[in-house]
Amino acid sequence: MAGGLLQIAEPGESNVKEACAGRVVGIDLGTTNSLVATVRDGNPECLAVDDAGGRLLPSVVEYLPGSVIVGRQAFLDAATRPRDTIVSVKRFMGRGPEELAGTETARRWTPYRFASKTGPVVRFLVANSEREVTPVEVSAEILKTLRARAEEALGGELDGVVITVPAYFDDGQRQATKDAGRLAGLDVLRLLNEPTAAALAYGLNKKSEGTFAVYDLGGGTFDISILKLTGGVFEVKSTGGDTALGGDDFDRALADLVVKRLAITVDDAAEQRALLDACRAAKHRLTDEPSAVVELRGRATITREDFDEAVAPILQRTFAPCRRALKDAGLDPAKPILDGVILVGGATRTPAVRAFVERLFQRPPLADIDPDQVVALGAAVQADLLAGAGPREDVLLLDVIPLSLGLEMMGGVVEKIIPRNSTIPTGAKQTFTTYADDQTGFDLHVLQGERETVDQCRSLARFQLKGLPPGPAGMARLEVTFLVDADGILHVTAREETTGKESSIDVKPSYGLSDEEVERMLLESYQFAESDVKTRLLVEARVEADRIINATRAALASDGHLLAEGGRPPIDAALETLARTRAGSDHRAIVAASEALDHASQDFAQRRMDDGLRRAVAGRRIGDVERKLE
Amino acid sequence: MALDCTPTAIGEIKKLQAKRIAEGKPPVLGLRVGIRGGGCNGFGYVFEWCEKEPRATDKVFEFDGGEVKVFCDPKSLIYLDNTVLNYVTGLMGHGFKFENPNAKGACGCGESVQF
Repeated sequence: MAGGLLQIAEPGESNVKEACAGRVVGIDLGTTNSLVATVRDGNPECLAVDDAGGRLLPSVVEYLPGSVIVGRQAFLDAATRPRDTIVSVKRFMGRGPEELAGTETARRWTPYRFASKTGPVVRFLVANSEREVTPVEVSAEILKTLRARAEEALGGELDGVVITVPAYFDDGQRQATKDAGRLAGLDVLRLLNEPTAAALAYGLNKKSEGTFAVYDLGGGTFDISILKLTGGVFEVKSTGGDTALGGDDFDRALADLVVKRLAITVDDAAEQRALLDACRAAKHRLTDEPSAVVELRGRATITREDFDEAVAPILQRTFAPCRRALKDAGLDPAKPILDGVILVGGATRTPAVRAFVERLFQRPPLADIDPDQVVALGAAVQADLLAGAGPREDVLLLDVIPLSLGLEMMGGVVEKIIPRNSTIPTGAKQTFTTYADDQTGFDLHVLQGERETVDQCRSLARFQLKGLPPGPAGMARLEVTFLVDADGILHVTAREETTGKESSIDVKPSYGLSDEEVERMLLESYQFAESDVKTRLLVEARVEADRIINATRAALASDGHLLAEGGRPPIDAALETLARTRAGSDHRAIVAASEALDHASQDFAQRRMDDGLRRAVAGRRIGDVERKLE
Repeated sequence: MALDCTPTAIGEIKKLQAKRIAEGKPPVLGLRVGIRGGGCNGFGYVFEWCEKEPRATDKVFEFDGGEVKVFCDPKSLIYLDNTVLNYVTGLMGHGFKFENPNAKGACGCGESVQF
């Protein structure tokens, strides 16, 4: 809906999912090529991105004074206008100039001029140095081209897109990708990890669990990812790869072989280009045929055995990253137990690659989907799921959680972790901490319901996490993960991050609840909504008041001697007021009294801090302290 | 608990009500607003004509001497408290907008919110 504006719907037809429904596509924004796909009649398909009907758009952008060219033509011009034609811009996404200095990317992929202006982002100087562009802008040009093609094919404006990113992309790189999408006028529904997209294209999310390897050998990059599927939710367990290894290396290896066979030397840049093109064509023929001929000042016949031998050393370079990724994912590299291996990237069409992967992972890889398209197709599947998965009010669907799932908090209130009507499978994570000093464990109480207090919700399970080292309140970091799988089974895991202690439990939330009960609980939550929220605010205010009272009393007991003359009575008075207000039921008054106590003890707190500092530096020379501070 | 409409929004709602009657659609008793789980950002707005009497638990807000009525269920109202319903015309088209002080975030399509 343009600009976030709503229209009044017919009765019963307010449909949340319509927000993003309609024309949605998945985009594989690749280093070498980019693709766009959509789901039509239940089948994902890649859309044509050029007039010839090709599905691959070279990720190349050429800047001329006053115009921008994207795709095939830009790719062809790269040789003649290397500085104005940005190739492999993905390598620069979300990276600062300092990060890039001295890296492989800077050495190998930069015939470019950079703007001298320093800043947090790289700027290419293009169009005869008339223009400065950032990697985000360059990527946006690629996305704009895909968008225009998709809108043409689908007959209207796009409502949302899913863009894929490598699993190892960090927050900065992901944000840059999102920004590029926005700059291209796209509504980015989600960023999806490339290996996960590939797994979705194969429909692996329909299994309930398993471990999968995704072997992605593109034109110029190699990525290996190990995915774990739990309850229909994919998790990337480990990644590895080589940013300077790919199908282009096959062409070069083949070219070396041809040059040796024909006993020629090729120095001329144009002839070199011609040789590489001929070798690439031969490589493609060798996928299906036992031999191919390369013609260049003579004829060289290359058999598949010759080719396999030439590329063997290149394939061998993918071996170590794969082993490491398997190991990182907790698998035995010598005997990995996998439920599937997926091939991604055009270079994996080569029979030698398939044989190598089969040997390495000890099972035949999945290869029925075009490896160039598989990521884009998976992204389209995800976009379609996102667009069509909105549940309707009060209609109990099998694929949504009927009532919210939450945890009991201090004081008997319920913190909702997964809101009701979330489509399953779903998951959510929240971090909690200890309430009291020297607390060595957590009692976890899992609840279901819409009400705000524990006694009004349905108890699902209780479990404990014990054996934490004693420490001050607020030190422990308890990460609680709620995961609801496709079967509606809730897996709750609690993990204390500093010690790594973990505890978990599985419950089936819908078990024993009839539709009528669910409806009753829902209705009650409506009826009592207002009083529930009041109760909750009151409980929260009381918990906070107790915390402040206890902390102040403890501080007075241990450091009372630090108080200024006449400093104690106002604190005592504020303490007394808070204790009295706390017993009442006005949450606003309690919050105000807590703030008043906080204010009254400010000077005392300052003195305690100063004293702590004094003790830390006592008996030392200024120089020592300064050195220490450095 | 409060919910408000700008004069522009009220005017537009009255215009649309008249248009519905002119089109021979069943008369509406009010406008239902609410919050529902779903959408790309967690929650979405319910915003539709209501041909039935409000439910017993609904809060009813009347504007322009009762010519425009807005129904809201109590649970949704918690998330909609102090929301102002506005009608906006601009380059990006025109339509209604929930100006909701409780929302922590929204998605680009505007129909989905986070609390």
